[in-house]
Amino acid sequence: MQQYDVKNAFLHGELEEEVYMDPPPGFNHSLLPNQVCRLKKALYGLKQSPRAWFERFTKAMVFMGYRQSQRDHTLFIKHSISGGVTILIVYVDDIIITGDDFVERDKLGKRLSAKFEIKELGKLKYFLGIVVAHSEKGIFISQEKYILDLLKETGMVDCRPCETPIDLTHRIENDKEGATTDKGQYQRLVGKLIYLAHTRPNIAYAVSVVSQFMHNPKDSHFQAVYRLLGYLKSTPGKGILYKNHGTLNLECYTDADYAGALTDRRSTSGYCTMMGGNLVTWRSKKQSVVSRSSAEAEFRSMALGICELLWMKIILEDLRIK
Amino acid sequence: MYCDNKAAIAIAHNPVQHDRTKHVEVDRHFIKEKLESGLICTPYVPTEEQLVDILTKGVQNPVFKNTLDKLGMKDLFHPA
Repeated sequence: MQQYDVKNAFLHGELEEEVYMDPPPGFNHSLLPNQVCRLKKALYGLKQSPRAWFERFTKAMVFMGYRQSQRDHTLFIKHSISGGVTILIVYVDDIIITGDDFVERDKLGKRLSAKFEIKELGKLKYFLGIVVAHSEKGIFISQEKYILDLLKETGMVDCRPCETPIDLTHRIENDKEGATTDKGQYQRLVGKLIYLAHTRPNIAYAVSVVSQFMHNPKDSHFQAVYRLLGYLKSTPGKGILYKNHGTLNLECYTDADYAGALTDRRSTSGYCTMMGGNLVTWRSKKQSVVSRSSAEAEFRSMALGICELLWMKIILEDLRIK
Repeated sequence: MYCDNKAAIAIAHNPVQHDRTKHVEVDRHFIKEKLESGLICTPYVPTEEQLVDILTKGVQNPVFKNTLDKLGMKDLFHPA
């Protein structure tokens, strides 16, 4: 897996709309008074520049013979005649390239750097706050650094470690009487925890509970967040290990907690999908309707799980993995 | 596709429309369609082996730790 980074990505975008701007300060006004500049290329700060950049990038990729996956628009695939495959995935200006066709991979890197100004970062190690470690056992991803930074930032480095992220019989509910707290701080904190749940299925449920009170956090909710941070402190290095189990079976586990929410009696559904014995996706979500029986609640999570399986199946078909 | 509720599995396979399942109709037909096309199968998994409990409720140790091991969550640098 190779990682690349595009410099000044948004400046590459081409504008379709007419956009004008005031001449920048220092520009000689005396020659052309009362005039504005029409933009031909995108600039940072424009509303349309992310889209313009992505469109330009997509065009370039399609021109090189890559196909954009329709299920995940940031995924580009090329199947070589030799049977190899090259895969590129892009997040704004961060690019990961992988595949088993090494000739094509090198060619792609060269052609991309000819088109855009690109920095090659070598083997994938650190991507969007996620540390990727390669070893003989397999590939390991974790967000240890992100957690340690978060603990430092919240001043929780010396807090009491907890064994589990959330209490077994927690009563975290809409709390009308409790003291109001700093809403902005709560939202920022929970937002970070949501991002953290990307490599940590173990906190997914706790995060989904605390994020239900983003609009009106009370002291009791803050306590729950602090407990969660305490749990993170005890296990900062936990991550997911991807290794070869010798199969490529798709499996999905679903479950539901019938009428778990105390105030509105809604259920919670959860699922996780495994491919070849490795955990790939998971989700914990409060259902949007009230279920009238536990079977019904379970049923809804089955449907949710199947949706995910179908999506994965289509992606795998795109990659021609059987 | 593993589910620990036998009733839900039975309903998914059962072609007869019950009164009680009326309001989950869309989900039902969706699942049934996928079952019939052979895309998925739905074995029953006992609660002890259910891995997603940690996604739907608060779970205590040692179940919590066991589940994480099964999910492949490890601490490479500080193995416990």
